[in-house]
Amino acid sequence: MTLRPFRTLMTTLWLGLLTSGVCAGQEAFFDEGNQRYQDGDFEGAVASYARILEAGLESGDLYYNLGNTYFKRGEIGPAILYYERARGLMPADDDLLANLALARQLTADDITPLPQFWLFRAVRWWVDLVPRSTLAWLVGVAYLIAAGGLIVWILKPGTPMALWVRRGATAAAGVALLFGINLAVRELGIGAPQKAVVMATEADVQSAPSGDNALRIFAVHEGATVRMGRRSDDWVEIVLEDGTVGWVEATQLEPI
Amino acid sequence: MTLGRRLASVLATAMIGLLCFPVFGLAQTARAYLSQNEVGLNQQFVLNVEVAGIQQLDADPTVPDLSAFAAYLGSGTSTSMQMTNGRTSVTLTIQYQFQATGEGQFNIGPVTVPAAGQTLTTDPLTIRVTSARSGRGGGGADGGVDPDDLFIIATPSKEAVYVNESVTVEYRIFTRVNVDGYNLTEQPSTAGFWVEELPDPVGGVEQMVRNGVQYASSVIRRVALFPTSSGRKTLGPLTIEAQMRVQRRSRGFFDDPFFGRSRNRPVVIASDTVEIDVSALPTGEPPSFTGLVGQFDVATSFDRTDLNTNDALTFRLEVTGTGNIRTVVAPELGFPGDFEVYPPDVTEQVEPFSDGVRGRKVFEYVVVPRAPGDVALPPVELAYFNSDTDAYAVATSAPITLRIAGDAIDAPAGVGGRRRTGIAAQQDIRFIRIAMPTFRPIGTSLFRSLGFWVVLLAPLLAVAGAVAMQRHQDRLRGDVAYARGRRASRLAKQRLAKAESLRSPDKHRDFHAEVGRALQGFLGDKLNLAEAGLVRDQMRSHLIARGVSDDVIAPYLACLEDSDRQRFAPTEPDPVAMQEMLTRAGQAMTDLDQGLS
Repeated sequence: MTLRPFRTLMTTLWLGLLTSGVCAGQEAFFDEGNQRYQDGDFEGAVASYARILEAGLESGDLYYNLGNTYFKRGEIGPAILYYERARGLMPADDDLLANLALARQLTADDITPLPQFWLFRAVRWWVDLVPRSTLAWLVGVAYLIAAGGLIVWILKPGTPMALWVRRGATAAAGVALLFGINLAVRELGIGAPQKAVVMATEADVQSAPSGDNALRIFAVHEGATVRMGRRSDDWVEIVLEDGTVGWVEATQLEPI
Repeated sequence: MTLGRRLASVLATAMIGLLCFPVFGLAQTARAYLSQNEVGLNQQFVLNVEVAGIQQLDADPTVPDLSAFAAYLGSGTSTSMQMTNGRTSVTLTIQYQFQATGEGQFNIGPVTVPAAGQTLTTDPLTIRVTSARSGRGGGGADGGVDPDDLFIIATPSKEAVYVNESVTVEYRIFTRVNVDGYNLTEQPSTAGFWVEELPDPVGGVEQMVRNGVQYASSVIRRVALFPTSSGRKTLGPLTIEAQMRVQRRSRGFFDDPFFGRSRNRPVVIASDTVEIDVSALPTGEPPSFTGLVGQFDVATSFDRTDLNTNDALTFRLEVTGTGNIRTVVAPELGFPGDFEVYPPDVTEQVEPFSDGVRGRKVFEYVVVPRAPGDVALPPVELAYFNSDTDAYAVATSAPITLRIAGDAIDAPAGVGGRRRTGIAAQQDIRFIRIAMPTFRPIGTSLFRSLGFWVVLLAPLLAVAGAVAMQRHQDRLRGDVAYARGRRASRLAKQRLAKAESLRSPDKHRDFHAEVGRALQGFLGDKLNLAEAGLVRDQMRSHLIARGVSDDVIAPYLACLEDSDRQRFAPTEPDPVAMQEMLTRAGQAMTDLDQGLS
């Protein structure tokens, strides 16, 4: 009688977790894209990968492969865009970071990033340390263990077993809290500004949101990654990694 | 003797001091004359301006411009005194020395001399400059010098050389007159040559015989020349001004060994030009040839050969040889790409020798290896043209092997920008992911997924349930009334079930007993009372005290009463009535349970 609603709950839980991963049919497109990539048919590979995106599905690996494909086609702008998108899903992936660095070297702009306060860098490193899915599982399992331990401790107080259960539960609670904050920061996008990649071969940067030639300050080139600020009609305020600020037509950017 | 001469000097000075006094008041006159009226080209002549009756001029005399045919060399002043019949006359003479530079007959205009408040003017003069070197310089004491007595000979070490081959030119002075010193007035023009000035020779004066005449001779200048292009090259004359010592001609009273003085007179002499034939280098030069001519050697060394990566070591490249060592450019070094080679520190040292210059040029490089391993450095090659054998040659150094330990180190990024060249060729992106990834809907957030909320909330509910369960068990354990109350329904149901099993006419007494027990026990458990001693009035008062309404109490008590009465009634029971009894009892207890809670 008391157990029945709990069992229902658990069933819903598993179903909920599983449905997020079950998407039949996309595997075929992914394999097709990979095959075309290996055959050197990069246009075809892009088309195959794009069908998965059209179906409303994404994955870090998918974005990574798309980035590679555009790189091979010599389109540095889209390559960096997809690498950046992949980075949102798998921030610490070694292959991804290597390819992104290589793509950046091929861009025309040599932008020296402003030095960052070491604490912010350390926090960013920590937040990006564990891949998202692993992090979610880790937090979930630790949370369940802590709750289970708490239940045992409530129901069987004072027994020798309860002592160990309590210690385990405390440890699990610590892990859940620590990584839970990490997960929350990443999911809520705290401290992660909206970025964009320059798609145009050369985009004029104006000192104000206007196409007046006299207001032109400098130019950014394809593949430059910028932070997006205010918007004004068709114009976006951008902040370069070296702190330079200007306005660019929105059509020349693609938000990550 | 010495004492006597000093006495004579003192006496003379005293006499001049006494005798000068009456000089003032005499008329002043100026006169100009030449040391010779005919002079050879390039010979010197002296324009003398003699002012009588004065010791000092108000200003320098104005000499007419003679630049059309003569070059001004210098001037000097002298005074002389003469005593005639007890009268003393003072004469001031200014001598202007010139060198004749143009042939022909020339007039020398009047010289104006400002003296004693008036301007004196001399008469104009005429001079003839001839192409022939004049004989004895007019025989005058103030004339030029005989070219056979004082001349400079320029001697090249070779008259035919290759381009960039060294040739030494030696300038030697020959003299039969006394020369106190000299200074160079004109450097020879050296267009078309790279000049290496050789240090002044220290040989001193030597006696040499030339054309059967003995001269005192000395080397005054030596240069090493490296012709920069082929053809016939002319080296201009070297001109010096020599200080020739001449015996002063004394007059009158002081014409005496005691007063015999000498003075220096500047004389300008020039060397002849030097012609050198320069031939171009033969064809067939080695690829690395940079134009060096001479004999060269090249040697390389490191300050050590065992080291770790990222250690700085010094690589020394030394080029030695004869020839234009200063023009040696650093040869190609065969360092591998993972060596960082910094620009060299260059030192050179050049010394003359009989046939030109020799020396060494040292290039010291700081080298930092970035990768470990044994590295065999290829020999350094230096191509040159050997002027002795008239053939090209290549000097090579011995190969060196470096043993580098440690880990490979990424070279720091180049200064001032990236090295973009060849990145795409050397590096490639890493391969795509083949393993099937897990796809998820675009834009999903963890907070929108069901699983997240289930995982978040289910344990909270479970913990809440556990807490409730634990509290329940605690009450069961410690509170009899609570326990009996919680048990009441269950026991009552068991008894009713038992009663139902007895629902047959022959067992109707047991049936009703069981129903009565169920009813009574339920109340006892609920109210935590001893059921045996319960009287109906007590039951009523207890229930009223618990706030149970009479509508509930009355059917219950009626039901209880019925069951008692039926138990002892003789009437044969009716199964339908028994079933109704059960229903009534159940309903009564349900109502009571609700009324009590």
